[in-house]
Order: sequence, then C-alpha cells, then structure tokens
Amino acid sequence: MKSGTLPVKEIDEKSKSKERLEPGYLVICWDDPINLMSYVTHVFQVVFGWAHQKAEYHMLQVHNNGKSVLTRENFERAEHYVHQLQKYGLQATMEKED
Amino acid sequence: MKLLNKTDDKFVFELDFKEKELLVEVLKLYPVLDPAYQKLSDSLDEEEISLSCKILKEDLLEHQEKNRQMVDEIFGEGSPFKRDALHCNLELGAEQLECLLQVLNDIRVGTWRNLDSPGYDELEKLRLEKSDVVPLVVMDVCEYFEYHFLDAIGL
Repeated sequence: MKSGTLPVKEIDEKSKSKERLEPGYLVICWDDPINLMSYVTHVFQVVFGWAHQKAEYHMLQVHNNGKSVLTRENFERAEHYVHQLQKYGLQATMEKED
Repeated sequence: MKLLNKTDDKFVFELDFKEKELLVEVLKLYPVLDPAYQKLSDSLDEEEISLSCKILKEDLLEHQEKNRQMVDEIFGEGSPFKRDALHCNLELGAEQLECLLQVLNDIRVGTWRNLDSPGYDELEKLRLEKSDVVPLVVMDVCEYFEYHFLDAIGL
C-alpha cells in the first residue's frame, strides 16, 4: 500500500460522512386517512415554526398529492424533523435527494 | 363541549358529565400507537440507518412515557375539572393542551393502525358493516375532542 492512500472502506466511510453533512435529504410527509387536516397544519406550525398559511399549503399538498416535501436538510437535521413529526403521529420519512 | 375562556397560556372548556367521562375513559387507553410502526426512511440503506432507527424507537417510547406522566398529572390529584350541578369546567395550560392533542391523536392513529390501516373507503365500509364498533367509537371520541382542542387554538 502506498503511503497516504486510504483503504477503500475508509474512503467509503469518509465520503458517507461528508455526504451526511450536505443538505441532500428530503423530509417528506405522507398522506393517510386518519390524521385531521387541521391537526397536520398545527403540527407543521409547531415543528417548523411556519406561519399558518405555509403550514396549510403543505398540509393540502399532502392531502391532494399524497405527499409533501417539507424541507431539504443534512442527515442529522432531517432525522431530527422526522423524529419530531413522528412524535405527533404523522407519517414522515427522510429520503436521499436524487 | 365548548371553549369558555382563553388566555395566552390557559384554556377553560365546559364539558357535560358524559363528555368528561368519555374523555377520561378514552385517555386510559394511551399509548396505543406502536413505535415500531414508524419507519425512518423508504429508500435509505437499512444497515446505514439502523442506529437512527433504534434511537427513533427509543425516542418515541420515551415521548409516550412523558405524555403518559403528564396525562396522569392532569387528571390525577388536584383534578382539572371544576364542577357545578350540570357541567364540568376543564382548565388546561397550553402545554397540557398540546400534550392531550398528541395523546388523542396517538390513540386515534394507533387504533386505526390496529385495524390494519384501512383506507378512506374501507373505513366507510367498516362503519356501514358495524363491525369493529369499539375501535371506531374510540376513534370518533378522540376526533371529537381533537376538533374542539384544535378549534381552541385557532385551527
């Protein structure tokens, strides 16, 4: 092995760590027939600190389109938001942006 | 049930005795939603996010435990209900109201989940068939109180 050359696994780990720091993760809320529309609006306001109008806009996207991309963040922040939304019983996931 | 008074951090609702009984009974069911039901991602590599999923599950369990404690505090000694002959007044702080909203929603979503997550049409069918009446009533009772609480905070 040449000096200064990292093993492949280490390179993978490093590139994954770097990837996680970049805002390439989408926080998505999915539609379901059970959460009340006004409740979903309320949760968006509480979790993201959005004004009513913006929260309602995303709630309607969820209702009409089946999902809404709520924000694009790095891994850690996306994970945080998903945790918060799920504490309220919403169906939310984080997905890697294409 | 109606909102009698509201300040920045306090809400006073008037309930009749039937409503009070229903609220207290339905809250006893909490928690219903299994934290394992929630998933972190559809597309990310499972191995890569296994630690995050574990933390998520623990976080949700801990959150349910905290909410359970708050519900017990609200309805334990020093009950929030003030009575007269016909009605009860329920006094809640903003944080308590937020907690009850989450708790009622957990019971609704968890009950729905336990019915195998029926879609809009299937839910309607279940109502018409009058099978599984108890979970449907539980969901309706939670919805009733959720609407009133959401209305109180202006939604």
